[in-house]
Amino acid sequence: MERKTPVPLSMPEATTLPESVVTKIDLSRLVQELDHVREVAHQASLRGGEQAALPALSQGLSDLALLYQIDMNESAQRQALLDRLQQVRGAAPSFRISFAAEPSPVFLSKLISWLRREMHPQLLLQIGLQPSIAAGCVIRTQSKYFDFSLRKDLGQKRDTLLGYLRGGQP
Amino acid sequence: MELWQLVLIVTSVLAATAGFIWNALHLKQHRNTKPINPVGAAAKDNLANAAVQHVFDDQFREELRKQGREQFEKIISENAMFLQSDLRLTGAQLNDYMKREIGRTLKEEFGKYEQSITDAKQLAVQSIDKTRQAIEQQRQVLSEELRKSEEAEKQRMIAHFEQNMAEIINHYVLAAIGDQIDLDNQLEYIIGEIETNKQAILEDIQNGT
Repeated sequence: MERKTPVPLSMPEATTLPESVVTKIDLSRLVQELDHVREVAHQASLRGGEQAALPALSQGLSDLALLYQIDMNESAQRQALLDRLQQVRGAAPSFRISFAAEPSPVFLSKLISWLRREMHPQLLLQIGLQPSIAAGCVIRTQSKYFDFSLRKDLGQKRDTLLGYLRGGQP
Repeated sequence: MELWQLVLIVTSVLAATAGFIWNALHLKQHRNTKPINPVGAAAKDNLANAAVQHVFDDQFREELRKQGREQFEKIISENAMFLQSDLRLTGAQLNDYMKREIGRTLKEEFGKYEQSITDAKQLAVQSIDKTRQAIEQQRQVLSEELRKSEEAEKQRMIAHFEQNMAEIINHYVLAAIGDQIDLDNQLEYIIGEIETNKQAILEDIQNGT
């Protein structure tokens, strides 16, 4: 992940998510992981003694910590990040996007990066599979359906196909 | 010979016969009723009577009777022949008349019968013709309806075939190339489509949140 300018957590509207966090499940996993780290640290503090070693952080959490310049050993910063992530999880916009085949992480990374840059910085996706569309994608938002698939394109060119079937010019 | 002529002849014969008989009877009466005359006249009368008696004796009378009978029989037979020939003629004429009348009547009746048959045949032909025309019209109507129905069914089948064929071809293309196109190569296309509809997507997302 490229290094970006640190974004203060005090600017909630500027909170963005790393490219590795694509879906709500990814975000929930991050929240769980962060909560786990917090719990481990809390347990260690209760036992007293030297600062306990934190569990290994996932790539997503590491990217997040790097993005927001968070010291994961600092409980206040951890808590602030956790609160922020929980807020984002509750309020982040999302839509469902389906592909003909399982998208690769690189593909998703590029796609989500463009979407958060052009549409909303906290946009999350729900990834689906629809082999019948062959190529392209279909997007389902709250109340609309957008078909950008090859299936639809072929359907729109049905008259052309019928023209060829009838033996004449379309 | 007519009937009245025959009657006239018979009447004449009978009259002649009656006159002859009366005359004979009168002469006989005159002979039987001679008057008491003086001698000279009486002698003349006696001579006359004797002469008459000599002339008109029984043989002569018998002869006259015989001739009368023969004449009468001759006349009767002649008239009978005339009557017979007239009857034959009348019978023949009656036969001819009956034949003509019966033939004429039969001809008239056969003519009427033939006319009625002709009229009935004409009516039957007209009725058959009308029926044939009605059937022909109905056939044309049915043919037209059948043709339209066939055309509509053909068009429907063609449309159904075309739709099915288009669906089959689409499915084939999708199945054939679906797993050949790398998703990574589609990123530019997908982003382009989302870019085109970005505003609509964004509005719906914001309305939803």
